[in-house]
Amino acid sequence: MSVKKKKLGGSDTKFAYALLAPSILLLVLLIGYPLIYNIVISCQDVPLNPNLPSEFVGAQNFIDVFTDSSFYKSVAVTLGFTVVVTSISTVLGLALSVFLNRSFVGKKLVNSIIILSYVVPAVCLIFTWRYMFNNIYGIINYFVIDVFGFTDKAPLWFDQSVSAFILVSVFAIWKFFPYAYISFNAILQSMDNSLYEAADIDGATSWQKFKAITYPAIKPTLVTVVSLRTIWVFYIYTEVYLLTKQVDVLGVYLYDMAFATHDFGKAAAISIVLFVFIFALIMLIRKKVLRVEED
Amino acid sequence: MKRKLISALLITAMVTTMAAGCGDKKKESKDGKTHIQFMHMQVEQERQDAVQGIIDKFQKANPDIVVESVPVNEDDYDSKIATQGGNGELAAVVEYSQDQAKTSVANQFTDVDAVKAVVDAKGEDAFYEGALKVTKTEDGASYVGVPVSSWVQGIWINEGMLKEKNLEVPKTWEDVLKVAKAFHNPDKQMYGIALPTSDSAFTEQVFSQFALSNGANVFDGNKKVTVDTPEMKEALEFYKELAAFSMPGSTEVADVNDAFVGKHAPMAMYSTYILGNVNDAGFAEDLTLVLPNRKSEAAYGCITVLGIAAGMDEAQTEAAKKFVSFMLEDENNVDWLNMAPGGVQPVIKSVDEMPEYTELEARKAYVHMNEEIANAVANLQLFGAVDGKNFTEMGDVTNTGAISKMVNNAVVQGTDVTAELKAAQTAVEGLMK
Repeated sequence: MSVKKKKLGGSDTKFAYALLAPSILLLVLLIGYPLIYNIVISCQDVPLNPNLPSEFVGAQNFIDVFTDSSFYKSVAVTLGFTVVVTSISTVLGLALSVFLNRSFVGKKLVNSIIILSYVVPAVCLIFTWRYMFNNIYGIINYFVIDVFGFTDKAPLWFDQSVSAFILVSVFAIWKFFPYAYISFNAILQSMDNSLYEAADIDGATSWQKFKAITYPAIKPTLVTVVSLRTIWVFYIYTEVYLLTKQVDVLGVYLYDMAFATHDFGKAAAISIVLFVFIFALIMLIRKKVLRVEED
Repeated sequence: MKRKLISALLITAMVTTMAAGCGDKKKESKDGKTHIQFMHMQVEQERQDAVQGIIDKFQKANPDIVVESVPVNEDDYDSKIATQGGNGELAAVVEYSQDQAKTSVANQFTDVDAVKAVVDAKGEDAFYEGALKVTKTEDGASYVGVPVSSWVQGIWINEGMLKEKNLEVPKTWEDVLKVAKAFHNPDKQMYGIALPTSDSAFTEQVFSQFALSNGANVFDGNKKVTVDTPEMKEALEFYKELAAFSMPGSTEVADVNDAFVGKHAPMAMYSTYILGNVNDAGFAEDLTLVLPNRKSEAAYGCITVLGIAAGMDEAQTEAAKKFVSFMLEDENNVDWLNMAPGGVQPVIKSVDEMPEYTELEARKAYVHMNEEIANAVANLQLFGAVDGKNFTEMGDVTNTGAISKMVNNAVVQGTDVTAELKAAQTAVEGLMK
């Protein structure tokens, strides 16, 4: 019996690999080739024109990256931005999903309003914010100066690095927290209510119920949400670049390097450094902060 | 067995599909015609129709050539050139600003011999001298592209507003400052002048007029970086002083246009593209154009050129040359210019006298400005164009934003002018290495 099973199993495995082969080939072509090509050009001085020869420069691009002070400034800004946006958007999404995990009139409408910022195209939201904070005719300055008289002079919201950093962070939190909300909401909806009822009978507080029932249930989702959001925010470009020129995150630094100066070799070197960096960061968050056991 | 047979067939089909997808997309022309692409920035529907009209006329005259129109949004244009050029798939004919054209020539994307052949066939005398001067290649032997049209930029004055305050049209830097001071009243949303101050190419263009009118340039005749000079310092200090009478914060194209057209400022630095908006606002007859003037008058301008891609086969190169030559013929060039009446100016002398150009209804409101616009074209000066040389590296300097960052930092962030000049000098020198 066992021999027959083994034989069948072996045959199925081969058959499964045969079925998977086209997809694996596609993955190698679409992911493997660009990855290897990226490593190759990171050691070259690459001209924009492919008909011109590339020059092998060894580790020079990496040396340039590590000796560029603006790279470290971008790393610091990006780290701060990632920590602020990921943590606040996740906590906000979680808090709202726990708070709204009950039946009430108009729940669908509330859900729709919450996810609005996530589903509207980023460009529309960005230009709305820029109009709101416009130095001359923005509605925010109208309230700050004309209505409440907090100041005589219009604050230059997106022109100063500190206020620009705060505003871009608030924008990103507002734009991204619905993703955490939707993820946690899906788990909470599927949970058995009898667990909370039993806890109520035992006289558990809200915090105790969250710690003993909710947290263990949402932990796998929390790990996924934090990991993905960290990666996405770390490489953020569009939202920051279109809102202000005062927040030099790595996405903007990388874009400037690749397209403004056409230094593709250095841009490739930066992307490799960032890959190693973000990989280590995610591992650290999973092991130390979220305490995920790796099999 | 049947299941395995079906599965094997499926796998074969998937692999075949993938292989087909990975195939060379360059197909041989089955109709025996030469196919070329024309990439341009005319994305608005009516402009696309106008371009297609020119192409249709060309194809009728040249039935063995097929031209495909490829409109690309201005914001995506630079990255499109970089990626398509990088893949060796650049369109046969590409519309460029002179800065983009310089970058393309520096990367050997443009067939400068083909460009020269088209200009020579038309005859250098057919073009305005200023248009050819700023489009020469660095060695002066050819051109970065074939000039087809231009626009110029200066200080637009609402003379009606000045008359209400008994002020004369300004002629010098000091006059401009005097008028700006007289009008500036931000509490009533009235500003002395509408100036760009954001970290953008527009700011670099406007600042360049003040710098060049004071004899400052980014390079000298030997390509030595000359950002940190007393002349440039004077220009930046003046720009900072003048910007205090402009709108607060980082201002961009839309802010400048809105302030001037909405009569929130009597003066604005802008291109000829403002003419249509001013006409719509109903004060075209009050409009005057002057140029920043210290040691000389300096207009900024853009010569729109058509580049012919390098590395094509002979038939495609010949087809591209034919198409660009066709665009230079008076009646076709007028169609190109009439896409944006007033905004776009001719570079071919004979077109300036054609009734199809001069008597267009939409252009009649600015007839009184013909002389001023012609004066601006005559006084065209550009960063990187010095002593008859046109340094291609200026395109890279603009792309990095070294100059606009310097202006934005000094004017909006309030940083020290001397420190900003030093930082910009270092940045440009670093780029040159």
